[in-house]
Amino acid sequence: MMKNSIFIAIIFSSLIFPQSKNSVRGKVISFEEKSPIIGASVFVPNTSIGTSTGIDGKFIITNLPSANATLIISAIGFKPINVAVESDSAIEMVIELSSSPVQTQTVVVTANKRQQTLEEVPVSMSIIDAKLISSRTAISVDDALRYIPGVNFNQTQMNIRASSGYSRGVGSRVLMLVDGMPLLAGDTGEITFESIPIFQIDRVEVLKGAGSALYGSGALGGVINVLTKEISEEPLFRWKTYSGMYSSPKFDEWKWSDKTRFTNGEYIGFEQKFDNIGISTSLHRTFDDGYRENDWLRRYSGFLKIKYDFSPTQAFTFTTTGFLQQRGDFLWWKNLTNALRPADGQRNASVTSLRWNNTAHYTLYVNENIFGDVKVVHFHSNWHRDSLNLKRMDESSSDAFTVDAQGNLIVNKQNILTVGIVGNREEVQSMTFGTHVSNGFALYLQDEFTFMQNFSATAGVRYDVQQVKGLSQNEQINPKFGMRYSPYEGSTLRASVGRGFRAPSIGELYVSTSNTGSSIVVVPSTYLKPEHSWSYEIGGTQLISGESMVDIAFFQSDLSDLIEPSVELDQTLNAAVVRFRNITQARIQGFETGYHSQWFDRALSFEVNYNYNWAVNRETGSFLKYRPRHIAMTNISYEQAMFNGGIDFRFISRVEEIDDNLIKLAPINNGEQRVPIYIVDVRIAANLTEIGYPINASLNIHNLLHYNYVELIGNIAPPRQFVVTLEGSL
Amino acid sequence: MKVLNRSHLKNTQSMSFRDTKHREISILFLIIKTRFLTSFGMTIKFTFEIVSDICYFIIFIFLVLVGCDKGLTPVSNTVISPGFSGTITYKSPFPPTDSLIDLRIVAVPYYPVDTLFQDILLKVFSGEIAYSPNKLSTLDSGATASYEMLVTPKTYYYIAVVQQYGPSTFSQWRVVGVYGYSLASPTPKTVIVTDNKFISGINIDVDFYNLPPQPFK
Repeated sequence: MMKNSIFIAIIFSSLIFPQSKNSVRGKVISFEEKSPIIGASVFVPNTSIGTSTGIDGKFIITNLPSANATLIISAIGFKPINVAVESDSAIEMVIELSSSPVQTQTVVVTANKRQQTLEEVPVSMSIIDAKLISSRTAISVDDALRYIPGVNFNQTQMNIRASSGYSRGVGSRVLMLVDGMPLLAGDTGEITFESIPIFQIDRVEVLKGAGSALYGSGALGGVINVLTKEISEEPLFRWKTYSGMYSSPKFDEWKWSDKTRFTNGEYIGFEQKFDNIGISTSLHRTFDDGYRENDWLRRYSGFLKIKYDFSPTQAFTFTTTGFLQQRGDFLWWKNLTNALRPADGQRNASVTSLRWNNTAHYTLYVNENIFGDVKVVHFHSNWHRDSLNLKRMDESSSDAFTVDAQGNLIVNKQNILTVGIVGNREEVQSMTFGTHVSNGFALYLQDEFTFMQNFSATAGVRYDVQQVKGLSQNEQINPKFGMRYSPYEGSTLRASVGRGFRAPSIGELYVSTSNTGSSIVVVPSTYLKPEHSWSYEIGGTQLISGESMVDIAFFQSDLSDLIEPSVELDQTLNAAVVRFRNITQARIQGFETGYHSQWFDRALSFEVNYNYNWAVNRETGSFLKYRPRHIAMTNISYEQAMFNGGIDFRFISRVEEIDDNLIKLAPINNGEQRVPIYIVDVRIAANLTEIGYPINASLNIHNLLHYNYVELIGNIAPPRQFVVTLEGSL
Repeated sequence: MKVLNRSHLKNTQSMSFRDTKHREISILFLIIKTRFLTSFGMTIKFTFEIVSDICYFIIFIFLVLVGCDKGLTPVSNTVISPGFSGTITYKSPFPPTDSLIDLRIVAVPYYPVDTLFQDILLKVFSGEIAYSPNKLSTLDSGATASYEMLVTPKTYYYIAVVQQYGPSTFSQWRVVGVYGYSLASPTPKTVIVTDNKFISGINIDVDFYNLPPQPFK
């Protein structure tokens, strides 16, 4: 009660005594090219005040805590700087950022739940920013994540450094966060990429390796943290429209429609700050005819973010995101001769999804050494599968709630403490999974030591308790340790070890269906234990002549009790059944290396990455299913004046082991057919802002070679696709 | 505007392209590089060695792409997918529905003599014994139904149609037709399935009331 009174008093004092209106406006440009930097982060340290630059590189902050303040300006690919400013809204200051040939200076938050530069992080991380997402015409986050080194997809299931295979739509060994809060479906525990507002993304941080010491269940193979944009201080209207078409199938046997298959969509968004309140809202529609029969898509989504600054040191943000989607239910092909037609029985079935999530976030800076925040998120998911005559074949509804309170204490320059407490609850009502409730609770503690300027270490531990009502309680303790050493400028060595775990989802525990297309039934597996992993990594980064960088990391993960489906005869049920079991002990070893360089005053950039995975079942000696051994990516980008363009090339070696049982039982005709993946994407764009038109026009060609491959058995990936995009802001 | 002069080219050539096997590529590379630089008027700040290496890599990637195949093709379907097909001819009336719970084809890579049926089932689910994934269609008696089965390449000594006649999945099965079996020729015919081979004409007669010898205990 006392605490509540203090909290209310703080709010009212902020309302009654409004803040002084010190403001500053400016423009952030590239030091080398003098061109505006879009999406640069501008914020006042130790406060909740901040914004990002618009399409012209401009920003304004109207509620500086004092007439003299310090701004920290950062952008991906540039060195962050601190700038002392004086309040004067009449003058537009110009801030120049020097580009960094690599991302080592980029500010990230995921590794240690606080802001720090990438070179301070003791684990491997990759970042993609809004510019990359936009330039690749990504419609969903997974489209953009395919360009991350060491990452591949089994259609919609993400795999970081071979940590995950394909788990048939239940469970994910990669944890998805949006602004630091988990966004996994309460029933299946899978990532729903379409729930993420793609056009509101500031950047996506990908943490490679176990992250359960901070993030708990699910962070077995890595963490994806999607960070949304700050609200612009000035009125900003953004729009985007795109239209594309698929090339005709390469073979006559595959042609199933006389019509050209199109995709198109529109996005509009508006944001502005009114005194202490900032509002950002947007709507997005996307339609896709689909390149396969019954693979169409209709999706409508909306986004609303409201931020209220009680004072320079307190802020409250409410965000809601929702979408309604209907799509054809293409599960696998009829056979390779009819690769773009669904198997008999799937034809004309559809899946309708309605999902939304609400997030409330309160931030408080007590002083420059003590700050923290409280986040509450509710993720609702409902989907149902219907046949042509609208007969309901399957339906599931779930709600996932998470509360996370975190505090940071800067004890001194050498010691930073982070503590937190987390509670979560999942409620499921489903035809397939039944009606169930699970609850969880966690405590975490982390300490970062800086022994010397060039040597630091991080130690942390998290205690988790998870219980599905009616089942036994699971307790987990997951520690981590990491260190970073810079022997000299431009050179960084890092090492880390951490434990990860994933509690089985309600879907895995309670799935029960006879709708398998065969006489076999799937039965509940309530005895499942959590999966575990120990991840080790050692790596280093070396800058070369200020224009190039080499990074290499060696890693190993020892996985135990991996959950996999098995086919068995059940004497009690008098039937053949599929149930999940903790059966696999596995080891994944490998290395990942990358080279990034820039030339011609950094107008031309080149990047190449290679990832090798040796992922074996330690009991059978066989390679783990759905894991590629080699992943290579290269990118060449050129930017000059108003034009930019680039070529991406991705290679993923042929997956060596697949699920033979799935092919037999489904059955998936020719399901064993798969090849190495070679994908070339080309893009060219012109930013007409500099000649007076606030429009960016681009052409993307995905899969230029029109190469036919599968990411998941029985599913041909998209053929060559042309997409024209126009976007702008006012 | 700076352009590459002869000495640059000569120097680069002497340093990086000595291998005669790559002479053509190196000339192509120099033309591309020279045109690229002159057309965009860039200041030359880089070292030729690094750019040469990178361009070699790009050319290598290009050659890989040009040389690689086009991925999956429908032709693969007819070449691969070992299996067999044929017809099931029902020689007798169907039994009552409550004694025709299921009807499948099994392909056994040995002669199942005096085998516990549960052992057969275990081998079915372990993949050692192939079986048709769906219940066979039961049309009117006297009719002929076609079937296809994809199987692991091996020699199958016993291909049969089996009927589940009661509720027990583990015990209430019987053989109602065997490939190659007749009273005149009671030895089942062997089918050899190899890689990239799909065999047709594996026709089986089914008579629910005149059963072939039962191999199960």
